[in-house]
Amino acid sequence: MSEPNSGSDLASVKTRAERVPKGWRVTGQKVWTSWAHRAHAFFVLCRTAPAAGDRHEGLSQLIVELDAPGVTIRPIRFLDGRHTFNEVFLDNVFVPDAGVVGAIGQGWKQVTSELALERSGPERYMTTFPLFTELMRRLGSAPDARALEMAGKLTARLWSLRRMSLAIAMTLDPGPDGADGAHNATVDLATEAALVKDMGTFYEREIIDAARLLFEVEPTPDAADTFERYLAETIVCSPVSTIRGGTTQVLRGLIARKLLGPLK
Amino acid sequence: MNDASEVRAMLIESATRLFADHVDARLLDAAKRDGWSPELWRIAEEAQLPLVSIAEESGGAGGSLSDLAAVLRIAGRYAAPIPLAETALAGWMLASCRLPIESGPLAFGPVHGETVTARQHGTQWSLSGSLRRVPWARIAQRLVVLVSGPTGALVACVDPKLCKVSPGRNLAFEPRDDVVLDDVVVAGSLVAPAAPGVDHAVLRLRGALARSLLMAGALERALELAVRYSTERIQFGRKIGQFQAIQQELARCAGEVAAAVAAALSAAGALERGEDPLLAVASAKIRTAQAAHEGALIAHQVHGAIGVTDEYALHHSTLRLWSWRDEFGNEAAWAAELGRALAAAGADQLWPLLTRD
Repeated sequence: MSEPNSGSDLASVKTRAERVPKGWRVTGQKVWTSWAHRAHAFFVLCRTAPAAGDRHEGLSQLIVELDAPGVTIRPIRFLDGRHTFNEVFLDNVFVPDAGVVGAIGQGWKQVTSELALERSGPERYMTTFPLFTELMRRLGSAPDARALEMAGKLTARLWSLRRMSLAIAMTLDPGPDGADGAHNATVDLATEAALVKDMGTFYEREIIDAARLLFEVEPTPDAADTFERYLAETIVCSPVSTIRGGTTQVLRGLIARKLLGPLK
Repeated sequence: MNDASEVRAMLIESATRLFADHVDARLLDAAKRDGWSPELWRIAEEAQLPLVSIAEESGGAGGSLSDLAAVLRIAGRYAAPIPLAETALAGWMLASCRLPIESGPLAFGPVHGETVTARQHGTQWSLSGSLRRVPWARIAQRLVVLVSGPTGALVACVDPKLCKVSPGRNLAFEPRDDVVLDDVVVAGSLVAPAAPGVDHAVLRLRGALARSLLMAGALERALELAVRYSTERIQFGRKIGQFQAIQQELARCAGEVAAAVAAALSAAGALERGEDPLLAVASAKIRTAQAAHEGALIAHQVHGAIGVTDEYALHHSTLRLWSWRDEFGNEAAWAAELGRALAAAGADQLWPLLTRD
């Protein structure tokens, strides 16, 4: 989705596709494409009609094969030197009609609904859970009062987030007896999902801080001890979660607009 | 939708209408003076709200714990100044022990784990002990007390007029009264052995769940007021809701409110389905108390000075939030208790415990 000049302002993407017989020709540049160097293909949000009037119109999603002629992949190294991100250059790359996701022109609606659902998933509040488990292991069976309180609070927040996340999932797919047990969303699902991501991403950092402050451990990237290694890994990843998939500030703006309605 | 959820939807609609129609500034101000609203109680009792979740054959109104949860959330939202939660809990104690449920508001104790001793004299019992800060004791028709008898725990239904009741209050002017029982005589027909599962721990647990649900509702109201005020108040020539700084705070508040509602309602559902009660209720009480802290202060911040006056409605919600978060165990106490259980279970049980539902 993202491009060098289209981050939070996703509707401003410049990558474009032109109609050709039996398909589309795509030209542009995408960035932060995780695992593009390993994947077979990736989803591309691009413009298939000019942005006349409403710029949310005329966007489409295409599946681009990463070994197709005209595709160039360059690594972007993460701050600890690891390679997961890439930038992908597309120079007149052919995509057959079968590579169109959903409907031409519906790209904005499609990506925003995908993001809405992605935002309430477990990967938005559980990426540091393995550290929490190792923290509990290190605490042992008789921790002091401060540690007990931290463990209890972290668990309570996780339990609550998981219930919110499950409620969204169960509203999407109620299952055989879905009407019982799940609470109803207090706002619409996309907004509720944004709330889960906003709180979930800060929750992930609380685990890191608890782990740091309960033990006197220096972050050690290659430590043999699992707790120490997880601590080092989660610290260097800690800025990411509140940026990817919609920054905290973008999400809160979206939530507030839903709460307030039109104000002009 | 199944039958149970349709019935609940109707209950929610009628309870919301009842409180929306009757709880207004006049009623809430009168309740501050009188400790409660007898007028609202009468209307709620006619609608059979106080004994929801207690079986009809035991003298209750029927329905499930989730139905009661829905009612308490709404009562919290409207700051209903009547002992709905306490009456349901006291009624549950009576029904569990096969004692008759009388009409009128009920209180229960102890809420701080004190011991009241019971001695038998023929067909009667004599009760002695002191109870601190019993919610609504001075306006209750009956006080349902867990007492310590010669051969085990008993539940007794006591007339508060026979006790020495010293009025106290919480921040929101709700009665929290000290009660002294000095050889109070109770007929044998109003005393029964405590049923399995009726003990001090469960009173605290159910009390905490009730407060979580009330807080969830009160938070919803605080957010509603803050949102409405942001669309009305104009400064620097614009509605304050147009400023991003205000928007970001409202969004943060909405997150706290959504988490509180989810936690409180889910905990009631978890108890109903027989899931780990400590995990569910401790989580709900901790999360709603945290939300009460953040949410109340954000709502006030958005309102500016008008929010801290006694003529503006916000204080009915926030004063309750600041009281309820500390009643039946604050977040630190519950976190320590939950933390102990987790540490005892061990790290490898953390994920299974969280997902056993």
